[in-house]
Amino acid sequence: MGCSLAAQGFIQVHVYTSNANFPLADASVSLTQRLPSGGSELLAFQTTDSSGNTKPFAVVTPILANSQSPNQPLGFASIDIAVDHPLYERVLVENVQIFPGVTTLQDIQLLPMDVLPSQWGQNQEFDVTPQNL
Amino acid sequence: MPTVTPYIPTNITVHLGLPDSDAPNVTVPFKEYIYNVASSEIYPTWDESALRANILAIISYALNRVYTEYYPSRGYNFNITSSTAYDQKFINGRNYFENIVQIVDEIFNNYIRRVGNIEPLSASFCNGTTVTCPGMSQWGSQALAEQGYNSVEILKHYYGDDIELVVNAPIQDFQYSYPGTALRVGSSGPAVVVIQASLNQIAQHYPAIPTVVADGIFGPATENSVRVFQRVFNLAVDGIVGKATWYKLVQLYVAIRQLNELTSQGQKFSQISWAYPDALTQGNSGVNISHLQYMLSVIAEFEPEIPGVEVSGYFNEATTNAVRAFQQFAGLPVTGTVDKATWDALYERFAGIENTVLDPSEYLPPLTSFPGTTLQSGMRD
Repeated sequence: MGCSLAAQGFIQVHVYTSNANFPLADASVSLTQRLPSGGSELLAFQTTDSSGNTKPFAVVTPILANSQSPNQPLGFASIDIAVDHPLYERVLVENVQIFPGVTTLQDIQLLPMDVLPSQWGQNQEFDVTPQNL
Repeated sequence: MPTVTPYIPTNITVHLGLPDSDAPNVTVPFKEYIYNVASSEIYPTWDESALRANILAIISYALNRVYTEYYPSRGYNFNITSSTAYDQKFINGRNYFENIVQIVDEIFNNYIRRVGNIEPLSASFCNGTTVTCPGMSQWGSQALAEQGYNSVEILKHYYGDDIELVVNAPIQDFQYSYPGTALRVGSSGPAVVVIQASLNQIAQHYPAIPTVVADGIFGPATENSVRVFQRVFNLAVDGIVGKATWYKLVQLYVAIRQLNELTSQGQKFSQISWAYPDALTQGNSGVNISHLQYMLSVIAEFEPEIPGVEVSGYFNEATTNAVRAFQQFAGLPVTGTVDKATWDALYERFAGIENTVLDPSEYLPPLTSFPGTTLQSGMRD
């Protein structure tokens, strides 16, 4: 395979609505990764279960040593997550970090469309900037 | 001065930018705030002892901001910012790491303080490579963890040996120190002692402000001192302590005692304004009894009629005798039970002594009753 030394981490997405954390089933969750060429690769597409969760998904990451001391190559993989549901506003989270051997948990709150009827098609976007390390 | 016992707020309001920027606020559960900051500041692949040390520093720093009312006392409607130039990094909407979440769930109501001080440590930190500072080095914490240091040893390495951990601090909704109504000539009670003690502290740096006797009675001398304070700090000069004047007093008090700095002079146990807990009587035990005994023992040093008591946390016969002696001394009904009138009278007498007679280094006796644990080598956090 040639990449047997590569490490991996996991991503699990939880989709809910309202501050009371009602789980949202049947939301579409797509995980993509940007390519050096500028394009974007679809890693996975899942729908949430009745608890609003996706299954943990494995993502290839840099090796552990990169995040153990300063001045190393980047220690984590970055992916983008998009969540869609017909009745809710779309949410994008960019640059979600995946570290080797660690499960990343991404909670996503969807707002009902009818909260903002005049703003059809609005996206809510978040961007995870790296640690200052 | 801050008058609220340190606590874990149920929620915390974060301003998503520099303090004066036109950025939104988000209010999140305190635990989620810590998940977020820890995930934004450090790498989850670090050794567990480094993660624990960093999480305790993050909690303590945030609690210091809450305790000192740092932003509210400056007129802002949030508790902390997301800006690393001022506070710690928070990214709205970000992912968390499972192992960090598990540690935070375990220790989110623990924090660091300096032995003898009540305020959560302003446990500042920086990455230790491109930015260095007097607090903890984040990369250094991981290097020490790799050498086998546990989280306590890491924290002591950076913050000094005289730190301890408070565990299971109380959780409650956000509490403002301002009593809710303006205080003026004729007001009395513990809130007036707070004003007087704060004026006296601030007067050490602003000699124009007259010092006053911290007797809990808002008389003409206090009013005069308040007026001068208001003039010096460009507040409406009316001699009445409303919200604006109260929070200016808090802000100055915190700044002068450097409570929001690593170099804090410390908020001592004996400076805290303990609100009346509930009727206390022989046979009761707990932290409120320790506070009661502590106040009695300080007063006993100055009033020979009152027998000294040991700070044991248990309301025994000796405590009853001291309470009766104090009630007699204060002209209250001699019941031996601490009702609100007795508690307030005790506090006013105690605070008056403590703020006007004692040098901060002479607080007596040492009080260790607040639920805190001295950090021992070998402890996990």
